[in-house]
Amino acid sequence: MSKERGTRRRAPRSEHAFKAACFGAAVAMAAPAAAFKIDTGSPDLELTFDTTVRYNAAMRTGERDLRLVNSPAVDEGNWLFGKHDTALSRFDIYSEFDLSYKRNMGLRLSASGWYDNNFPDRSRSDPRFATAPNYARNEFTSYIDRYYKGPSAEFMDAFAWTNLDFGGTSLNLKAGRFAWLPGEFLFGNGGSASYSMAPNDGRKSDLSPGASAKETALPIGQVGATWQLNNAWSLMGQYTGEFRSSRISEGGTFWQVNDTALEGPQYISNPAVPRAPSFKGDKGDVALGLKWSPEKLEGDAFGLWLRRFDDKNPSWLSQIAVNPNGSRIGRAVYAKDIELIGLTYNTLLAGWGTGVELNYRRKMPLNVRSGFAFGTFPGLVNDPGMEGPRGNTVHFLMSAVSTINKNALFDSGSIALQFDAMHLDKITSGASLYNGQGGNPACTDNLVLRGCSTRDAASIALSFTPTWQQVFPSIDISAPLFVTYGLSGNAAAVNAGVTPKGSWLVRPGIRVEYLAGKYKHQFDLAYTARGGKTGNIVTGPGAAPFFASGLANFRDRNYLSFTYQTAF
Amino acid sequence: MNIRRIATAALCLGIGASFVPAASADDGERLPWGALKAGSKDGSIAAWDGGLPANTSPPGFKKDSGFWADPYAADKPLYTVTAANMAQYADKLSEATKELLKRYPTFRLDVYPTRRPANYSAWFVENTRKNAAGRCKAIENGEAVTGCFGGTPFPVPKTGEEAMWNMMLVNKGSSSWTYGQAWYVDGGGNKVMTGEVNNRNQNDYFNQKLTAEEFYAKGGQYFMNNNIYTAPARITGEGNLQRKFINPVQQPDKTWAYTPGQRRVRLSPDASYDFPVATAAGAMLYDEIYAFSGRLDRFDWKLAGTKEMLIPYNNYKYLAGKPDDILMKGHPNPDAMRWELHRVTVVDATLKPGARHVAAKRRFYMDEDIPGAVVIDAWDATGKLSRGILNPTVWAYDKQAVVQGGTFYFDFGTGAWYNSSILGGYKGLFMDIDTVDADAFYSPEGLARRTQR
Repeated sequence: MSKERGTRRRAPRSEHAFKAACFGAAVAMAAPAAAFKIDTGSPDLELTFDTTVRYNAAMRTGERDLRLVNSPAVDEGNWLFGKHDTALSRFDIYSEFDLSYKRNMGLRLSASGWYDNNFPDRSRSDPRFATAPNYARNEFTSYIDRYYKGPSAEFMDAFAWTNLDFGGTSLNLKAGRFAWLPGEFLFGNGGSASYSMAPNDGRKSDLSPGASAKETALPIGQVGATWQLNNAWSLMGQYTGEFRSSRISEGGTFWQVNDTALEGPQYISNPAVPRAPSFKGDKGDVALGLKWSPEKLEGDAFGLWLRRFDDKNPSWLSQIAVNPNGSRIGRAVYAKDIELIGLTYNTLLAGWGTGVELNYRRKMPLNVRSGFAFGTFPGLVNDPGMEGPRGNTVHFLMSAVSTINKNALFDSGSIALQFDAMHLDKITSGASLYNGQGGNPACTDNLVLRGCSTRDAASIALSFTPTWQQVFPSIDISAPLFVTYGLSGNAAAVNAGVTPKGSWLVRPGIRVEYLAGKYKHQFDLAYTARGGKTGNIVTGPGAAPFFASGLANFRDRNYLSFTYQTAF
Repeated sequence: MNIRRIATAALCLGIGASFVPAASADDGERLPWGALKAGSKDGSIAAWDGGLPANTSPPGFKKDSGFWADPYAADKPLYTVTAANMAQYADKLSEATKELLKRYPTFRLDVYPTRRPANYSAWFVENTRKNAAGRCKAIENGEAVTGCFGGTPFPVPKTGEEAMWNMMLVNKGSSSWTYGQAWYVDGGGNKVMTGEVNNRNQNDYFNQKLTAEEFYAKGGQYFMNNNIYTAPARITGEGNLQRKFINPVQQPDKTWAYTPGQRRVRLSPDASYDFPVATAAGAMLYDEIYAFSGRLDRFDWKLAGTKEMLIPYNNYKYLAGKPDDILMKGHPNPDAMRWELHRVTVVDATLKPGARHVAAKRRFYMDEDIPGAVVIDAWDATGKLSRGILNPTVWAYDKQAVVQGGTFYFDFGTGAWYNSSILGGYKGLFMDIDTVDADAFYSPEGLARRTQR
C-alpha cells in the first residue's frame, strides 16, 4: 500500500471489525438455509431460496497521467487510488426467494448486500486543486459510504405474478418491483427499444464485475404483461408506478471521471455551485409491444414497440442556475416524456442467433454543453425545468451470437457481437445548449476530440470466449475477451450506448471454473485497458490545451481485477 | 438375396454378423416392428412371447408415480463379465464396454436372462404396418423422412440412415414431464451435479390425436422440449426451448434461451454436431443428446448387419436409482445395471471426406425391439477409441412405450463420464399424463411463462 493511503482518515478499527462481523453473520445466516426447496407436502407449492456470494478485488495498474487531471472537476476520481493500490475489495451477496403455486402464480423476492472494507472514508484531491474538493473537506458523504463501503443491503425484486388462460389465449401478469428488458441487445441497451424500461445499475457492473443481469438490471415498480393471443401474435405492456434512477459510478471514485456526479458529491464546483436534489422523472411510463412470429418464418420474430417514458439516466448531469440573489446551484435533470417507436427482429442467420433493432425517439435528451447557467447566459431561456437540449433521434443495433466447435486451439468457443449506431434527425428544443454543431460555438473542428456530438455515430462491441473443458478433473478453463471500439462520431443522444470514435476498451481474462457436487467455484482474473483520441487543440494565441475524448479519460486507470463467486 | 454374400461382407467389416434382415417385416418370422420373433438357436435369446401386457402391475407399481416397478425383479444374473473373462464375450461387447472393463477393475456386467418386454399398442402396430407398406420414405439423401408416422418408420431398414431414423423416432410416448438431475463424474472420481431440470417434451409423431397428414401439415415436429432449471443455485430459473423437425434440411432445429434478470427470450445460435454440451464435462456432444439426435449429413451411414450383443436392458433398477446408487469413478455402479443379450442392428458411420467432427467414426448397436436401446462407440481421427455411449432402457408397460431416463456418456480422453438425467431421488418421469396447447407452450412466451427469475 502506498504512502498516500496512510494519510487518509480511517474509521476506528473496532468499527470495521464490528461491520465485518455483521456482514459475516449475515452470510452465515444465509448459508445454512442455502438453496433449500421446502417439501411443502403439496406437489403444487414450491419454495426456492438461492444465494450467490462473490468477492471482487481490483488493483490499479496504470500510472496517473496528470494531463487528464486538468481541473478540480476531474481530479478526485483519479487521485483516490494510485498505481498498485487496491481499488476494490468487496463482498457481495445476492439472495433469491421464489414461491410458486402450480407454476401458475407466485411471488418473488430478492435482496443484495455488500461490503468493501478497503473503501476510504475520504476522497483525495490533486494538491493543485486541494482547496476545491467536490466532497466538502474531502469527506465522502453517507450515500458513498453506504453504496461503496457498507456493509449495507437492499431489496431488489419484489413482485407477484400469475399465468391466466382464457379463450385460447395465455396471459402472464407481473405486478411489483422487477426489471423487464426486452429487445435484441447483448451488451448495452442504449440503442434498444427497451432503453430506460428499467433503470440500470452501472455502478454495480463496475464494482462487482461478476454480477449477472439479475443484479445489474434494477427493478422498478410496475405492472407488466405478456398476452399470447395465438401462435403468431402476442401483446406486451408495461405501466410504471414509480420512478427510480439508474445508478452510475459516483464522482471521486476510481470508476468515474466526473467528480461532480451524481448522488454523492455536495459540489459541482466548490464552493460556488453546490449540488441540489435532482429533478427526477415520474411514474406513469407506458410501453405497448406487439410481437409477430408467423409459423412460416420458423421462429423468426418481429416486434413493434410504442413507448412514452421518462429517462432513467440522469439526462443532464449538472445543470446550473443563478438564484435571484446571485448565488448558483446545480442539479441533475432527467428528461421526461420521451416517445419511442421501435422495431425488433430476431432470426438465425447462417447459424448466428441474430437480432436487429431500429427505433425512432422523439424528444430524446441530447448532450448538453457545459459552462452556462440558466438565468444569466445571454440568449438562453430561463427554463425553470433546467432542461438541456432535446431532439428526434434514430437508433439502430444489430447483435449476433455464434458458437465455435472444437478445433486445434480450444474445445469450444462462443462469439458475440453488437453494432450500435445513432443518427440525430433534428433538434427539437434547446438548440443553443446542444454540445455539437449549431449549439456550442467551439464545436467547429476536432469534434470528437472536443467531446462535441456529431449527427451520426457508430461503435462495435465484441466478446469471444474459448473454453477448455476438464483441463484438470472438474476444472474448466476459458479465456473471455471483451472489446469495444468507437467506429465513428460522438453520439448526440445521451446514454445512447455508442462509444465515441477511436475510444476503446480491451478486457482479456482467464476464468477457472471448479465444480464440486452442486457447487461451482468460479475464479476470474481480468485486465482492463481503455483509451481513445487525445491531442492538443489550439484554442487561442499560445494556448493549445490537451484534450482527451471518451474512454481516453480512463487511459491511465488500467486495472487488474479478480472475482470469486459461488452460489448455494 | 444371397445370404452368404451379405454375411461375408459383414464379416469383412469386422462385425461378425450372425443374422441377416429378411426382405420384409411382419412376414410371420418378424414382428411388425421388424424384430425376429424367434429366439436364438442356442436359446440365449428367447422368442418374443407377446411382451409385457399393458395391465402389468408388479409389486410396488403405482401408475403415474414417475417410476416403474421392476417386473423382472426375481431374475438372478446368469453370469458376470469382468476384465478377467471378457475375452470369452469379446464379440458381444461394444468397444466402449470393453474399454470400461479394461480400465476399471470395479466395473462388471451382470448378465440377466434376456427379456423382451416390448408390446406396442395396436395404434403403433397399425401405423408401423402402414409405414412398411410404402408410405414412409427417406428423402434428402436420407437426412429426412416423409410419410412416416406413429410407428417404427423402417421395420426392415435398408440403409444406415433408415436405421438411424428408427432410433431417433423410438416410441417414448407423445409427451412427458421429466424431473431429473444431470451429473458427471470427473476423471478423479468427483461427482458434480450440473443441472436439475423440469422438462416437458412432446413428440407429435406419436400423437394419437393427429393423422399423418396433420402431423406433416404442422411441420413434422417430432421433438418439442421446454426446460426450466431448478438447481443448482447458479442456474435456477434459467430455461430453454427446442424444436426439431422431421425434415431438418428444410426446417433446421431451433433453440431459444431465457435470460433471467432481463426476462426475455432470444433465439440461440446453432449449436450442433460436435459442439460440447457445457454442463457435460466434455463427455456429451450436441448431436449425442438422447444418445443421438443430430443431423446425418456429415457421415456416411452403412448398415452393417445384425448381431447378438450384451447391452443395458430392462434397467428398472437403474431408473429408480439415486445419484449415489449410480455414480462411481469411471463408470456407473454395476450393482445398478442390468445387462442382457439382445439382437442388434449395427450401423457404421464414417465421417465424409472434407467434413469435420471430433468422432471420425462411430458405430451404433440398436436393439431389434427397442431401437432406442442403443450402445455407441466412437473413434477419433487417429483411430483411437475416444468416446462411448450406453442408453439404458425401461419398457413402460402401462404406456406401451419406452422410458429412457438419462444416457451414459464416456470420454476416454479425460476419464470423465456423464449421465444426462438421473431420476431417482427426484420426481421421475410422467408419460402422457396431460395435454398442453403445444403451439403456445413450446413458444418463447410459453418458456417465459414458466420462469420468473
